[in-house]
Amino acid sequence: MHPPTTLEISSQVIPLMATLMLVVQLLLIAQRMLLTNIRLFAIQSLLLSGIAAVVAFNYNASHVYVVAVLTFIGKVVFLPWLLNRLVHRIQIHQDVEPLLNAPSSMLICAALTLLGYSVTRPFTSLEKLGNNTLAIALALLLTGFFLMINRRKALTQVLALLTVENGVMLAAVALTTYGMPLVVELGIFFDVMVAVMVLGILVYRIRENFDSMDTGKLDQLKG
Amino acid sequence: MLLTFALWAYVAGMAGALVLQRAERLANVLGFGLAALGGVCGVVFSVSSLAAGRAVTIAPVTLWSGPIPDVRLVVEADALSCFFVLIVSLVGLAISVFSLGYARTYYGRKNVGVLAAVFNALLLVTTLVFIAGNLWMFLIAWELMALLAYGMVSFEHEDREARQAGVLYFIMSHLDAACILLGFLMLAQAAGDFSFASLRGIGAKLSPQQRDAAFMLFVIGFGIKAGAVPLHIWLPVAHPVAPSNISALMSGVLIKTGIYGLVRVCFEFLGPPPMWWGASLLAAGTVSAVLGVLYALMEHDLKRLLAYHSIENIGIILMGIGAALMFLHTGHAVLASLALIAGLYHTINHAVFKALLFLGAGAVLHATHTRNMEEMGGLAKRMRWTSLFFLVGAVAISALPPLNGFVSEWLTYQSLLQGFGTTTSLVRLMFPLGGAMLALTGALAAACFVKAFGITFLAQPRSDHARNAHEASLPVLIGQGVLTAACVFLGLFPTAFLKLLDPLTQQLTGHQLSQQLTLANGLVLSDATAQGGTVSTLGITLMAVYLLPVPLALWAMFGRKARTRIAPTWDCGQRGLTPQMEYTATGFSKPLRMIFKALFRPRREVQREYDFSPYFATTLRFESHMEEVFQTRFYRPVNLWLLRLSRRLRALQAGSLQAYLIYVFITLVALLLFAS
Amino acid sequence: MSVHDTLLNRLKRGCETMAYPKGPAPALPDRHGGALKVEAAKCDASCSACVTVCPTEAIARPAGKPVALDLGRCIFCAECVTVCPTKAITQSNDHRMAVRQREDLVLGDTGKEQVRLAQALDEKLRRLFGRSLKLRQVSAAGCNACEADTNVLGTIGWDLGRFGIQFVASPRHADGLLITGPVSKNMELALKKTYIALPEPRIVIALGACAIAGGPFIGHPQHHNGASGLVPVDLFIPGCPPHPLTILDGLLRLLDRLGESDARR
Repeated sequence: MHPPTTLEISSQVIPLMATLMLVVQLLLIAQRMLLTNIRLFAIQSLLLSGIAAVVAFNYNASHVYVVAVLTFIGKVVFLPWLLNRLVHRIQIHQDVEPLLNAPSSMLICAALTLLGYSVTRPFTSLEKLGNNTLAIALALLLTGFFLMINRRKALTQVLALLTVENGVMLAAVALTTYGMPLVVELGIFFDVMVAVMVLGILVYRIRENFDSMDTGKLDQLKG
Repeated sequence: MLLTFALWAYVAGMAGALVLQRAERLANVLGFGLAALGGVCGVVFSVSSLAAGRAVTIAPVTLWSGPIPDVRLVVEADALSCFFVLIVSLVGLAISVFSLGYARTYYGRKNVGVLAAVFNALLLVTTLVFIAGNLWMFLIAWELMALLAYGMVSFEHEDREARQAGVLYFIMSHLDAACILLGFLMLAQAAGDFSFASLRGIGAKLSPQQRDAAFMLFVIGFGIKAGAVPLHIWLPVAHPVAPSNISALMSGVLIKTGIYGLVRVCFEFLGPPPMWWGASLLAAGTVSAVLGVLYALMEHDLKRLLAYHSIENIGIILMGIGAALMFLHTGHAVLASLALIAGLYHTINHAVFKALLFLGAGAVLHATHTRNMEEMGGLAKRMRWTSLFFLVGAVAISALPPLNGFVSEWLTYQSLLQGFGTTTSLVRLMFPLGGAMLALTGALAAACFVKAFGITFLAQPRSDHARNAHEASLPVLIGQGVLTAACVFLGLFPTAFLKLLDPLTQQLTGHQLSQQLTLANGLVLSDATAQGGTVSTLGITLMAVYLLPVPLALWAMFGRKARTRIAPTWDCGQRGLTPQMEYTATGFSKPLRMIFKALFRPRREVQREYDFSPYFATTLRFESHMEEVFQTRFYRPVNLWLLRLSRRLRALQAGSLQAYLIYVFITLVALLLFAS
Repeated sequence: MSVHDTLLNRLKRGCETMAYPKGPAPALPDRHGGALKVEAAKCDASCSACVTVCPTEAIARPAGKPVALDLGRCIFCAECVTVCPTKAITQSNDHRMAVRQREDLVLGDTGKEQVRLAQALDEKLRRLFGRSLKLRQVSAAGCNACEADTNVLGTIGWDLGRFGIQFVASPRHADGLLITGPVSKNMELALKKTYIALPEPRIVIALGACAIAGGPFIGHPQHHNGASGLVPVDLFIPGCPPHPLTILDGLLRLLDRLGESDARR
């Protein structure tokens, strides 16, 4: 028995962190307090930047460090701070009744996770980082989408979009040895930044006009 | 290469007219002059190519290749293309010369530069449709043609009628583009390539159901463009409101693109046709012919009358093509060639005389400021040349010898009459029935043009405008004269013209017929059968000329002694003849309106106001309506059904963000499941 | 009756056209009386009974002149015959009355006791019209009795067509004009236009008292007193209405178709 190499360690650590991301996602789905949700999102992003750092360390890909740092600054520090400020300005701390109650949501998320696993089974050979990271990424995507549908407050929907984006980033990192080309990563990153800022403004406006962030009220606009 | 020169002439005309928009006269002369030049080149090119007898005149040439693979614009000209390029160039030439004078009526009112530019562009894209070598070129040119024509239909957009006509034309054009796009995609999918060269004979690779579906799509698509019943409702609405030179171009050339498409697809791409293809085209053609002329008879708007006549003649062309397809099925290639020749000859004939009639109508419209025949009259003395040209056009369209309409209808009759013996199934009854219906339309067309010519040009003027009418300008007359000469030439020398059709029939049906159709050194036209039916328009004319000395001699011998006195027409001793005593267009067509009551369902309302006795009315109001059968019984129910369906589907548009997200999500999940 | 019966009936009846002019003329009805004969010599010097009794003032007796009866204005009521004490005016039972000149209708003077009957047309016109005369009828605001009696000439008893005389639909087809009625102001233009529309050579026939001199409407402001003042007349046939025999006699005399030895008198 020889002591485990860094590669072996990382091949255990990464799936662990990815699984933790999925767990955080499920917590997000069950949780209704807005501030807690933001914090959970921050944790998830921290885990993602951690994965990116480990990948960079193991494969000596320096540009993936950049990705890790950017993810940390952007999604762990900046965005949660922005969203926190928004919540305090709007003074709404709790989401309204979701479409489906918690147990049903859990069941559906379980089904979606299974779907994610079954869909990505043919692709396991493409993965470099260990088993099932791609499956988790797809599960994150699907559950994030479900979160968007389930909740009615605009802010939570923004958060859901961001978790979907996390899943996409995870898939990008999982699929290749060196991560995606830096340009692509930067592109996605800035895209998300701008999207969140626009959405922030939009949420504020919705609140002003309808006195509520309930996007269900948008159907008043129907002709 | 002459054709390239012609195309560049159109481009130059378009650019020049747009650049010189402010200088109306220059824009007029430059734009239409260059279009005429392009027309001349096109005519010379196509006639020389057809006379040379080559099957392929221009091998496929790639005009432009895009960065995306498979997106290329390819140009290719074979005998069929050359024939249609001849049509567009000849008619375009005549209309260009006409427009030099006609555009003057728009000085100060509308933008003549735009008119000239779009005219050139229309000629350009129509020529491109005919010489397209792959689907990209064909469809792009097709859509451009529809767009430009829409623009021209709405040229006088201050008029509400023109705007509505434009919208209807737009919708129908898109319907037809959608249908032919679907059909072509079916073919291209089997061929794997978009070029015409690979589409030839592709029908063999398709299943019979696919071929039938493709055929139906093409018939509907090209049928809308050509104006066959029941897809014709846009034609009598759009053609009258456009400027007259554009109406002539639309009726003479643009609807022939539908015929071109049908011939190209049915004879080259789709392979051996089953019987019902030809039979359905023959039936559609017959119905179009009869209904077209019946509705034309009831019109008193001169341009609408001519538009309905276009529907009738398209019907006759479709009869020829349908018969050709039926003969291909039964294996009579010679008869198929004959029917195809009849259909194509009628195509060029109709292009020539319909354009001539529309140009004449344009001259009349300009002189009298109205399209309503009930306000015209007496123009024969005031517009001598125009009435002469219109008369020649009317005689030609009524298929009277010795002009061109007679020749092509004679050929159609011959092919139909011989059809009875080609097969033993019940379908053969369609041939004599078609022939009988063709005879009916011939008679009705003659009646209609007696009305059109008589009410418009003869007797006394019915309004001040007509009274003050003056002859049109010289370019207008020359334009009409060119087409009149073409009518006469095509009528008197059919045997010479048939030689030009040889490479066409060789390519499409495998037979060259001009030798068999010509007797007596080109004097006599035969129908290539054992019974040997023959006709000679040149002979008839020459005989009339040779016999002329007889009445002249009689007059010299006996007539000169008689005293002649010129006096007014006998008017039964009245105070004088007034225009109110003349036939009206509505009155002239009344007997036929009563005979075909079941079709027209005429409604009549007479209101009378009087003081002390109904026999001394102070006001009399007369209203006469006819039911628009196709609008009320076919298009309106379809529209209502569509609206009802849309209203039900509207429930899907909940306005709720959740709902839309759910739609996206479900689709995503379904796709993932499906893909795995 | 069926077609068969009709045909048999017709065949049984045979030819019903009268023999005249190859045979004797049919007798005039009792009430007719025929032409008038005026013998001025028999008149009383101071008698003017006939003048006052004539409803159309056809009889005149100017001072110092013999009595004159204008047959053209006479409506043949025979009042003058009844009232004449000396039988100067008598009915002659002669159906022949047509004349060429207007003056020939004024009776009374010596040598003019009876009408001077019409002469035939000159040689050239007789060659043109002798076997084919097409007439255009203009009914100029009369009572239509003259037209009715002209119409009778078309029936099978009289059969005008056997002489080549026919009535046509348009003056452009016609050789001559047959005018009836006093010619009201409304009909003046129509009459003139019809006359002008006739191709030359043409003849004009004035039929009945109204067409010759206005008849009972003489002097009316809305009428022209007959056609004589509007168009040149070639044949005058007096009567009110003239008997069909008179009309036929006039026409045949004009065309010299009678073949009588006393055709000219």
